[in-house]
Amino acid sequence: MRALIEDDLGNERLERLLAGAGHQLRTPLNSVLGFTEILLMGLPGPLNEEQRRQLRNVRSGARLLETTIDNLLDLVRIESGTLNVRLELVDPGGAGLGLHVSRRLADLLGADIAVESAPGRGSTFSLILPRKDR
Amino acid sequence: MAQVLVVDDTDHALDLLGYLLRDRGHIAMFARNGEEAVASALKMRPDLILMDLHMPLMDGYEALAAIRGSARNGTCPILALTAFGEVGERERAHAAGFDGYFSKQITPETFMDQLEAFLGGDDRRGAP
Repeated sequence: MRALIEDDLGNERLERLLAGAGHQLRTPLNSVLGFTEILLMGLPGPLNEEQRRQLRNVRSGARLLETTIDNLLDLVRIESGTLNVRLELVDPGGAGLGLHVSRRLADLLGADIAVESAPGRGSTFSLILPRKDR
Repeated sequence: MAQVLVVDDTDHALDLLGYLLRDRGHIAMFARNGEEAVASALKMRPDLILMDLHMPLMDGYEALAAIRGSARNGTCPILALTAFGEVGERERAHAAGFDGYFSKQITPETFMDQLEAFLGGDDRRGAP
């Protein structure tokens, strides 16, 4: 991936590639999570306690994989510098979503986000980054 | 009870949404691309349409325009279903005239409540 990024690949092309990879990885995972949930809801029929326990294991494994995929894609964006473009596009979609994405990215960086807010005055968001000592 | 047309080019999505709809007593009808969706919408006159945006032959945007353009289905709520990670897709869907938007990364326990909100409090619900 590093070679791909340094090989003069434009940000737009990289973003398309990441969106495509995300889609390819998420589509089968949506099936795993969706049908596991349907089984746990008992829609196709009742389950015994052991079956429920095993399906909950499938679900927690799939959720972990989901988080790993999201984090991996975000990390590639951070490494390649396409991150800023993405945040600008996400932000008009709603402050809640923007903050959620920022929060996750801050976690990835080992950073923290602080918010100061006063009604009618506005809000100040601060990103506190750890310093890398060499 | 409502008739819901689900439009998607993947079998798993149709199967999953069909399960959830039938569990709530709704009738699920399926189409696999925009052309089939337009034909079904005109023939079956569903109460609600859930439509994937990216499909072969005719995509969700073109199908929406065709259905909206027909007098028979002018007011049926049409909700966009879209895959993960399409930045700006929600805005495009709203601008195109979709009544709502769902990510395919659905949470089955809450999805149907959100979907049924679009069916409104009309007398179809709870009818025998």
